[in-house]
Amino acid sequence: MDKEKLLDISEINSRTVTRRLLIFSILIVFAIILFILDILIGSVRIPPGEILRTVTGTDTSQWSVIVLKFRIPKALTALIAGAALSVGGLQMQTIFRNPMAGPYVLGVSSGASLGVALVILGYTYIMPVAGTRIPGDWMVIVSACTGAGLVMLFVTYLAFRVRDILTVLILGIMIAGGISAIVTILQYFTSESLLRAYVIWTMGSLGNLTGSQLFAMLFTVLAGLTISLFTIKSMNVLLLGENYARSSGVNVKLVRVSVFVSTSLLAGGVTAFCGPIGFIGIAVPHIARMLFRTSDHNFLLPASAVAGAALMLISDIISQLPGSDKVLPINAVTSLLGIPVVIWVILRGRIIKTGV
Amino acid sequence: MKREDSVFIQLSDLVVGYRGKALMTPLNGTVKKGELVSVIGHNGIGKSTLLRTLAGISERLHGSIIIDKTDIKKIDIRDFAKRVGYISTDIVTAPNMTVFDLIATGRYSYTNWLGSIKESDREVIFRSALETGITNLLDRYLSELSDGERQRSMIARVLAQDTDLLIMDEPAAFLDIRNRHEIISLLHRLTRTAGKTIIMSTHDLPSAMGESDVIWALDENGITAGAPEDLVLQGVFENMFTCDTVKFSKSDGNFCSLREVRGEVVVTGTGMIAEWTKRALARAGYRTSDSSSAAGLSVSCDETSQTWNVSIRGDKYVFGSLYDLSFFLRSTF
Repeated sequence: MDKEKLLDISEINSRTVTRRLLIFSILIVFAIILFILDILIGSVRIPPGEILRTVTGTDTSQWSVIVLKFRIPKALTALIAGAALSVGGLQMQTIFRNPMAGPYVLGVSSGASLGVALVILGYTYIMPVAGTRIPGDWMVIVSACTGAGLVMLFVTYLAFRVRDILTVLILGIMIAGGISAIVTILQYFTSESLLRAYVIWTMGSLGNLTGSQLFAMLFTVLAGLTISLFTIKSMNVLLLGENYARSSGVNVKLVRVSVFVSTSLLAGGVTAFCGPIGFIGIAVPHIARMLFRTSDHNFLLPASAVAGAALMLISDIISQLPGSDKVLPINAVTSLLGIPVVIWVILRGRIIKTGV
Repeated sequence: MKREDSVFIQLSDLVVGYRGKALMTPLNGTVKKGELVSVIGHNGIGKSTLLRTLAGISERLHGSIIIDKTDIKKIDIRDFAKRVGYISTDIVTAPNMTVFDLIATGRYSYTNWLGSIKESDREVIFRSALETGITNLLDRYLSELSDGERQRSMIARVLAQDTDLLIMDEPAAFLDIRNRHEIISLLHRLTRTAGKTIIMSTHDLPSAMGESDVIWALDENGITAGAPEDLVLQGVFENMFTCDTVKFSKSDGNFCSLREVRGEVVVTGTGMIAEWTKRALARAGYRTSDSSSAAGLSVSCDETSQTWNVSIRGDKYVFGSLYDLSFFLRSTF
């Protein structure tokens, strides 16, 4: 055996690994900077020194309320939501072997919305006595995850019957359309105040989460991410298709169930309190692939998480319209940032035909 | 030599098919360790389904498959992957995947839960690449490979899986002639040097006959197995491939088109040039005959001057190439 050449290969290998770790470190630093910027920027100008003092607990002025109760939770929400949706998108793209898959495009976020709509709007219908009381956080999150899961099940069923990538996408749009029709009907049977609460929710927002909501979301997302770690190895083989995966020893059914549970938790957990947020899940995995030029999920998954967090923080900063006191709906900003990436991927052409 | 001991794979009353529908009569067959088996048969007869069933991807409908004394039903998926490797006809295209990453997926059932590639795995991957002659391609992306290079990479991947048995569905399809021969002879070499047992399907009868130890001729009645030459002598290929327009020739193991015979010709000459002259004349529709009396046409060829002297009912012509000779026969008669 040619030892010298083996050493050569090992060296090339370790060089690419070093390069990837470097890119990954830069990405993390970038995300941290964005996190700090997101806390600094807002409709009220707070000097950076003040923020530092609030965080360390030596300041109790009115600024500390804004920083601790509003800005930091919002930045954390952006970070969690971005990472969750991107990892969910990556898993869906791999398991469906469809570069255009994502929680939003395939209607999984819509499914979560339906879950939330049923809770928020249906609450008055089922329990008229409760009046305008808002249902509990866990109830919202459970129904959002269930809604997401049901759509995931349906999409999975369709995707394995219809192999054509674009057909699956069109079916995803149909699902989303059908669900929004159901939600419209639900709106007829609901009180005006709850309707307003729902409409505001659909615009998507990172800033309205209470402490307990943030905790519930973090818990759900962490559960989803933990499961996703166990799918990394199998997803690398699934890129070759189901037959090769099976003959390499992958328990395809188990992986599919894991990805199903994981994406339902990720998409449901985020959508429950932030509303539907579009185009992060579909765009970020492509950014990760572009940065790392690899198909190895050991890199793609953490890279998608960090890049997703970064892109969400950027979206949040933009939505603050720095210098003004107006705030844009987050969903509009993520769409405007994500759609160009998606179009770029489509225009690169062959990717549509060749799978992920 | 004890014959029973050397049986590596045994199919007993195996019924293959899908959605509960059987494709053919129950199959029986055995393979010895280290053999290269080629499965041939018409399109749609069920070659792929048989191979998929052997590779554990499709469910068998009935019967048993014993590999190395164990029924494959009793082997769990991870262990099975260490015994049987599979290459399908699907063309794998995973953007951003390097050849190294591709081969590394063959190590799936050997690595830890994150799929980390250790030094020992790296060595197996490299050895597999060396075996298939693609060490220079390891850092290339799959999208940059030619068809032949991709197929070599797929073979390296399945070698990295370190199995005794390899199942390959038309490993030489889509390849040009040179690559096709190189791949098939690579498979032959693997059975000899690496001790692999290989079952492959193919439509390329000549190279299957040249390289395989056993041919499984598959038709509605099941498997007819034997060395390629046995099957020729038994007339199996003749029955399987002969139709109105094409005939399998028992004498030279090739296919020839059945044409209207336009006449008989006597060829005189020796060596290679006489053989190829006969072939050119056969294509033109002339049957070669030995007796000079029967034919009004005779061709004598000369190896050294590379000329052909033709005499037709007394007239004589000289040609400098078989092309000119064929053209003359075509246009004159």
